[in-house]
Amino acid sequence: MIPSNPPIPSTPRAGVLIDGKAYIWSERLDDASLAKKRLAQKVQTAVSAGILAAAFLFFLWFGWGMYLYVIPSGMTAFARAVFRPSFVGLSFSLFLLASSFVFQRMCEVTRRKTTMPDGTKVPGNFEIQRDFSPVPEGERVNVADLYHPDAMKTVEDAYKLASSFGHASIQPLHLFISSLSHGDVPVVFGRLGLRFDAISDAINRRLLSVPTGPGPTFSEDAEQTLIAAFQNAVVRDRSSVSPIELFYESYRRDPFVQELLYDVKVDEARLSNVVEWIRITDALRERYDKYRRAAAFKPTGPMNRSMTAIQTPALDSVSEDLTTAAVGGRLPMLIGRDAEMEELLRVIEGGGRSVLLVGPEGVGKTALISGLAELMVREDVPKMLQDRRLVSVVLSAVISGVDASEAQQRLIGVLNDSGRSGNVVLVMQNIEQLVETGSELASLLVDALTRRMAFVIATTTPEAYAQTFERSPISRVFEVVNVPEPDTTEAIRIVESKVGTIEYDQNVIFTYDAVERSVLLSDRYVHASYLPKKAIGVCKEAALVAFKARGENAIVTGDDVEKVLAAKTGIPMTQVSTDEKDKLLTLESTIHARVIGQEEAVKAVSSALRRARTELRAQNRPISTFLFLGPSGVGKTALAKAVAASYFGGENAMLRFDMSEYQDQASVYRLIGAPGGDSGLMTEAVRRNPFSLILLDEFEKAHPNILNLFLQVFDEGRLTDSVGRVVDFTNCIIIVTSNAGSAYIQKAVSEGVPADQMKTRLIEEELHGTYRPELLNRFDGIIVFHPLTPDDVQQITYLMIAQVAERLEAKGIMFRATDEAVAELSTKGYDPKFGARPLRRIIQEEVDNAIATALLEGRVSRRDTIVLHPGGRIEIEKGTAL
Amino acid sequence: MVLRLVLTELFDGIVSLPAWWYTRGLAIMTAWFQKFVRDASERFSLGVWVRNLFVPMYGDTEWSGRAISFGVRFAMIFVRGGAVAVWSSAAFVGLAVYVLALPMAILGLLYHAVGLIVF
Repeated sequence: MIPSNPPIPSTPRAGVLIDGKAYIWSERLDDASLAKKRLAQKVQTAVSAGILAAAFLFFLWFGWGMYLYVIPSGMTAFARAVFRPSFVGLSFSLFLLASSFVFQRMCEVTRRKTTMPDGTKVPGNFEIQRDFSPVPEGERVNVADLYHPDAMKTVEDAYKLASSFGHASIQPLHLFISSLSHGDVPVVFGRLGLRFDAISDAINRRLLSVPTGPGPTFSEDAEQTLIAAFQNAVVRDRSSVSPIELFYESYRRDPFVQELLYDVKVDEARLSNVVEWIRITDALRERYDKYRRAAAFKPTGPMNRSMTAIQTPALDSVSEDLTTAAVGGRLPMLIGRDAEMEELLRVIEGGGRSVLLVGPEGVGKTALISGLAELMVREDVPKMLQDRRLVSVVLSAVISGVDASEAQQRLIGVLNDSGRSGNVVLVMQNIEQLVETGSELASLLVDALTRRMAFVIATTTPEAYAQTFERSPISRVFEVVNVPEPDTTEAIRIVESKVGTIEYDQNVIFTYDAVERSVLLSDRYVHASYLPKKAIGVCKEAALVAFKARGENAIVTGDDVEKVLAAKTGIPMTQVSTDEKDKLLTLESTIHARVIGQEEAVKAVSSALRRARTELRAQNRPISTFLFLGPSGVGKTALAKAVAASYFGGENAMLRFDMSEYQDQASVYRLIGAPGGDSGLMTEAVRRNPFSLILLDEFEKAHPNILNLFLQVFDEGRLTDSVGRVVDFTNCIIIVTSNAGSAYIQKAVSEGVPADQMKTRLIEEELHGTYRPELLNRFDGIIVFHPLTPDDVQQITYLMIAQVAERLEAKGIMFRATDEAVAELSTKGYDPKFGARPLRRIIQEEVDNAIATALLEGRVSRRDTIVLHPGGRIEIEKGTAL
Repeated sequence: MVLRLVLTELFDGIVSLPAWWYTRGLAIMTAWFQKFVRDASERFSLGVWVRNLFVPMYGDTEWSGRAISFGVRFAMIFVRGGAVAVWSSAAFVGLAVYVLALPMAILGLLYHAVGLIVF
């Protein structure tokens, strides 16, 4: 016999009350009871095996007797064996008795002393109570009786661990450690991409610091953990408490364990999602088993069980029977979307009106319909859907390839078949196709639905609903059920439920990091489609990438997902590499190789880029927005180009808009697109290149309405274009240049006004009439570019000469200019009004022209060096002959 | 110690078996029997046919169609009811065997053992 537990105390230390019963932990755990328990279990197993063997032997004896004495002699011998004392009769009686024992023991082994409370009837947040008033005897339940053998083994191992270290008490830490090798907990670690080695040292140190003493006994925290694990299992409607609940609850109750896992980048949300992943897989398996049993009773043809239906040839020719597909296991199982399914069923049950599911493409409208098909197979639906079939009409098959009247005939056929059959629920996906094709088809449908001839569940997108349905009679015959994009947590769980299929198809294994990043990053960077579809797509591609790179059983990590998304969007997402780290830290000098002077501007821009790359910036605004003020030709555009080249990978990542071209009110439409017309120049460019630098030149010249438009862009990082698409600006740097206040800047610089004072006056007075204060406040930085000094211009001249040399180098010709020539060029190329802008023209006229002439005259050949002297005179130094 | 545990286990099993057989064991078998009959009824759609006795088959709502439907459904209810009855009978035989198995085993054991020893 297993040693009996201590009586359950009437006033326990902790427990939970469910339906008037107190569920508490009351399990004896010490060396003696564990040894006895183990021995008793062995004896039980041995006795059961003995009885089973005896039953088998008695059966053999009986069979042998029948074979030798009864079968050869016929019925008379049989009657004699039964009704007169015989060894055959004895062996049969013994076999029967032993079998009865076996049956009893089998039933008792699988039977639980107590059953889990119904999780669906328990509120999700019921609390563990500490101070109990005395609980009557029959109303106390030991939760240990509801622990799975694996979970009990976990608790026993926790005791042994504490005991082996001589600890005075068993704490959640012991339960956490012991759970790591039981049940599905190793899978949780695998999905998190963690190895025990990564935390083992810290755990050992912690174990050595736990107080020692006689015992161990359960600490109050550990007891609460054991009850919380039970509570967790009840809320999730589990049939018993398993190690995974112990693992999760011991994590939640031990701050050290939380810190430990946080160090290896696992926080509570991630852990909870992985635990849920394991449960989803289990739940799907259980649900599938139940569903398969139910599917055995569902007819698969057009005929229903009551045989009231008729054949539906017109419908069959343009449709797919979803209930038949569901019976065949060809439809995906629905995860989440409980609220939407409940609303859908409520609407169906309520008025019998047809339903229109409105949601963006990819959010799961089809999955919801598949879920309904599954419920119909299980007949777990309102009465009006029972013993019916769900048939999806392929609208393109109805309307394509025929003229309007033929399409009408087909639709009439479909509706007639549905009406006369009486057991059909029609599904029309993307119903806007039907409405857009012609008003006659829509009228036919409205008529049929008004007369309750058919029941339709249709789907459409919010845009199509706004454009096509809202003001059309068709909206009156449908009840709208909105299917919004799931939040990231729900999307992660949906993706987790789909990953199993991808793993099977590609022969790879996903980590949680990969799943999480597919959802979070696609939510952040991919705006053309919606969750969960876009994340599932990314997961499929990442699986393929991992398989190609590392072969079978490759682990798909977050890096694989980042690579796929980076390739799709052009946005760098991978962790900052050592090379890039150096590049970011020396960004100022890289930019200064192209921009001379303007220290403040270069520093501000470099800091913004570093913040962006280390994810310290606000995620719902552009990377940075700058207003560059200053006279012409001081390097505002040059700095923008340098940023585009050094951070975005090239000058072509710069989207440049000369705002002097957008001076009238109508030009707003050129930027964001006209309703029903062409798409906007800016919105389309950013939609195609979300990771870019937008340069808005001469911003003060744009129409005030356009300036207002940018208030939203600067603030929220998004803009809706003329067709209702939300364009994402959160991965853009926006640089606005303006000459407003240039005269004051030049004057202030010449008078030596300090920079801060100059900026304050600019913002408060000089820009007052040009920009509204709310616009100025939205810039991350207003940077004043100082007029160039002659020394600056000389350095710029050197840069430009270097560019000429670079161009000639491609032809195998060297080029250099003497210092005197550079000084002369810089003097000629500087204009106090236009800064260094005339310099380019001067270099073209005096340098490029002279070189071009020399090249045409054939005076220069490969390996020669051209030397520029003052006055535009060039000298050619002949290279060495080969 | 081990021997004592084995003997206790066996003794407890022998003593508790008859009581268990006709209490918890019988409850398990009765639940199995009920499920078996319910599944049979579901498999042969008996309830659906009874509920739709007056509903015309194949959407034929003519007077003649309704009459034929009623006749066919009436006959089918008999046929399907018969099938459910056969299934249920088989399950009932199983239940009866269970009820009789333990006394048969004990009485048989006593009868044959004593008979063989005495005669």
